[in-house]
Amino acid sequence: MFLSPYPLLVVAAICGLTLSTPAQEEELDMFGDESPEFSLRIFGDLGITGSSKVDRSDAEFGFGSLDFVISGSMGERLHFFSESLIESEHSDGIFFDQERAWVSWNEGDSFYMRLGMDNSVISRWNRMFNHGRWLETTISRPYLATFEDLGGVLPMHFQGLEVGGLLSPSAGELEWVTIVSNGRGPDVEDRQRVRDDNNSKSFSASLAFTPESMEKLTFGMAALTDIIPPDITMISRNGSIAEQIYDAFFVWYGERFEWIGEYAYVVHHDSVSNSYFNHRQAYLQMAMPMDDWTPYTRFDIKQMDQGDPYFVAVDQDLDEWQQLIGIRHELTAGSAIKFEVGFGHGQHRDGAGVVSSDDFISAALQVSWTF
Amino acid sequence: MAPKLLTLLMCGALASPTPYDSRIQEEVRTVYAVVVHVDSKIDDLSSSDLKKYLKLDRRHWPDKSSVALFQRPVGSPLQKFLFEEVYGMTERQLRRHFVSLMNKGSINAIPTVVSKKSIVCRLVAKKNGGIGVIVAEDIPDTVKVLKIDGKEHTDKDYPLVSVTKKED
Repeated sequence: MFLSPYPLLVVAAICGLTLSTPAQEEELDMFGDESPEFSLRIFGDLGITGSSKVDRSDAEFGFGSLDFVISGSMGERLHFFSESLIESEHSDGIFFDQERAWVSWNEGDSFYMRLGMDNSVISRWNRMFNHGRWLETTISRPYLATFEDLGGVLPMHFQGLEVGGLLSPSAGELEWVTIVSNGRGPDVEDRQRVRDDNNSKSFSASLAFTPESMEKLTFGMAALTDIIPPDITMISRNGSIAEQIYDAFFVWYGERFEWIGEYAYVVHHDSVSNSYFNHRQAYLQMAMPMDDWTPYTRFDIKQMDQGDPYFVAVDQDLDEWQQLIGIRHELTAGSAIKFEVGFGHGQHRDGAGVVSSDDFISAALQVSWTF
Repeated sequence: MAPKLLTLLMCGALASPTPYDSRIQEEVRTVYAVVVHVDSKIDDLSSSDLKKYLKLDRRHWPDKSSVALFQRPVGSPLQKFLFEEVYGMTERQLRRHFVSLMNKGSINAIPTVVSKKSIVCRLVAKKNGGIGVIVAEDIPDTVKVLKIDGKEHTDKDYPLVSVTKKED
């Protein structure tokens, strides 16, 4: 829903009103370039999932999410943005969550500054799709880009200051982003949106390059450093953890093939045990858009060092890989139905803390839309 | 035998070209012009830069004003030409691209779709940073026409030209 004056003029024209009448010329003149404009976009999804994993039900219907994105500007430079999400979480809860909210100032394409909360740049997938499930070709996100509250390993959100821009040298386009933020909280799900438990700040940066000679290709890298504060509720977490994350990615969006691949390397240094934990995640996804149908496949893997005190509490220190095969069908210009099946092998921890591994299969059906 | 030959000859004569069958296929040449606000400092765009502005991959002009794109409806011949020759994308891919830009906060809204050429010109004339593509006939002097790759829209080798066959 676009609420700037221009669509109103267009609607007026379509309805047969003549724009050249003096009254309507006056109406046009009322809207200067400094007029505030805002628009609302809604993403939604519903679905059915099933998995043979030991800790999951065989099959379940589920509410996915309703995502309200409001974008507004006041003049050429000032821009406001908000994303509020209603989503299902954990056992039987449906929660309202403010995912993103920022104010931005730009000086053309080459420079902008944002203050607030946004999605982190440490995963390209995360920045490309955010919470818009309709935008994602697949139903599930890769391990590397899974949200913190759904078992993800990387920080997908931040609260802080972002500075970036788009440079256009003759060889192509270079997108640069730097962020200083509160960083992670004492536990994986704590995004520190309204406070910071320690004095140190997290720093991250990303570079993405699109060559002029191969404009369907974008590749780049990102890095993040943070000091994760202690968690006073756990004995094994009574010290801080130094975190470094390195990410490399490429995206190829052609008319016939869409490729996206990403690799992330996470290093944790636990000051309590003076131990290092190294974790790796990667995925490679290929899709073939053919009119209204898009078959796709993705290989997805995470290799984790067991015993990382930051991840062990929520069993995120376990290995898993999965091969997905799926198909997406566009129902209308703004809605799609997706079906995917996966098979893989993953570790799980029982109540006594013993880790074993099993093969698993999964299936999911999702209807997603935007308007 | 002779009557058969005569019949065949007559049939041949009937099958020979007639004014109806010799219809010539006429080439219809449609030139598309890129129009911007009259105060724009830009005179010339490369095809590559035009694509970036029309995809809103570039969202500001060099003078830092925001690009305001006014599009024609998806089914229009102009928009079909742009999908094939400029965007190099399908309509669905472009729509997803614009929704993705909005979802990232890169643009404020999906570009406005305008039903009439005259309204495109009127909106481009009113909006600083406005850009639209129109059929290059009766272009009002309230908008500025850009050269593409250094070519005027009246030049023979101007790139934004659609050539279609039309039967009389």
